[in-house]
Amino acid sequence: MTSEKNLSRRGTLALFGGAAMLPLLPVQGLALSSGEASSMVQKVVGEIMAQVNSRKSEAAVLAEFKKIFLRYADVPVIARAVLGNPWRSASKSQKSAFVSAFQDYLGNKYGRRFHSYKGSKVSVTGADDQGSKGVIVRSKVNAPGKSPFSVDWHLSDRSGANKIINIYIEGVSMLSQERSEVRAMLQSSRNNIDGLIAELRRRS
Amino acid sequence: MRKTIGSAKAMIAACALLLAACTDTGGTGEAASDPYEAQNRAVHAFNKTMDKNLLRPASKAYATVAPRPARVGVSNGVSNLNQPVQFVNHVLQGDVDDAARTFLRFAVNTVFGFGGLLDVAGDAGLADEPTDFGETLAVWGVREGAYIELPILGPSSERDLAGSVVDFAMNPVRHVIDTPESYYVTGAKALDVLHKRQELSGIIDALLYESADSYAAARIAYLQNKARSVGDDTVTEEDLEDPYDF
Repeated sequence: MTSEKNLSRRGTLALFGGAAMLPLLPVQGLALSSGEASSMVQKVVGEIMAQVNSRKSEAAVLAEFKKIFLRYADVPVIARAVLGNPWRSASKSQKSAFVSAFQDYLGNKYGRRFHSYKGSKVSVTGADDQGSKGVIVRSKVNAPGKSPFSVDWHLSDRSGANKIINIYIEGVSMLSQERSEVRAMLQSSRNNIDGLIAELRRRS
Repeated sequence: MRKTIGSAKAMIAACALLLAACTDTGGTGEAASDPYEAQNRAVHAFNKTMDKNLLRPASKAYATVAPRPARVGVSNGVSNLNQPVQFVNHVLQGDVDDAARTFLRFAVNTVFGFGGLLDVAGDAGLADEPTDFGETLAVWGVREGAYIELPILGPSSERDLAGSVVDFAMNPVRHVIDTPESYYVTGAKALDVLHKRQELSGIIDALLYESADSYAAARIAYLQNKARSVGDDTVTEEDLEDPYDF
């Protein structure tokens, strides 16, 4: 027990020594904490609700949503995961066209959904650290004249920055839903990625 | 009375048989196997037509004719009548906390909420803790079985279908209420369906009429929502997807 303790102390010292040699390395932010994740979700929710409750036109609000979405969500990772295997065989220009079409499609789709929740109260109710899988931040949406429902935010820093990688509305995963949608669109475009990109553009 | 108990027993036995036949499927949502997909898709197309031509217009008409407080009142009444069977299920799941809340809710709303038309308990922070025998079976370790889309009733699974039959058979309220009151209850239940369709119109319309594959969207939504409500109503670690794992 004592030797273990000594060992870990030595380990800590070595770490500090290492940190001293690399003063540019940030001490905090090595792993995403529940606290950080919660405050990020608070911030995102605040920005979204400010837009929802603003008097701007829907088009203007959707444009703002897209900016928020790009800033806080790991769009390239989400797009890649949603497309799945066809991503591997896509050309470089197809990949970037897909990511761009997908982010417009998703931003508009969820933006429109958020937009119908004017006057809602969103409260962050807790967060669970899932270790290497990231952090789940729980929130409840109380919309006037509707039953309250839950939105869980999945955050991770695996891309190097703290990002939202999925949301669960009443337990239903956005990634799962969109993967199924994109698969259906790809099938209806005879498995042609350019056709899928055109379909995403048509729907956004 | 004896006859009803006998028939309830027969139903439970029938369900046990049905459960024994449950297909072993793994995973929820898109990864779940769907052995009845062809039939399910046919039923889905039928349900969509029914929704488009009947349910959706009727729910809109109901919302126009009846003011929201009246609609909420009817739905509160239906929900209140469902509390006893929810109570039984919470007990069967060993969830003393939710059982107590459900009992208290039923008592408070029945006495102070004009027989359940007002949700006094909910306003006081004693929210509904919905559950059913399908969830009880899940807690007992029964597998979900295959996904089934039922005509009119919509998405279900082998486990939840068996659960609905048991809930119907054991619902204490059904054995207490006689005709003609039972007809009013049936009518109120129909109105409750219209009310729910209207309250969720944004989500349901988007899912049914804007999805590239509305059948798959409904299946994923149903299975994932169910997976979460079994247990303590939260997304758990095993439900998490890993978009980096690609």
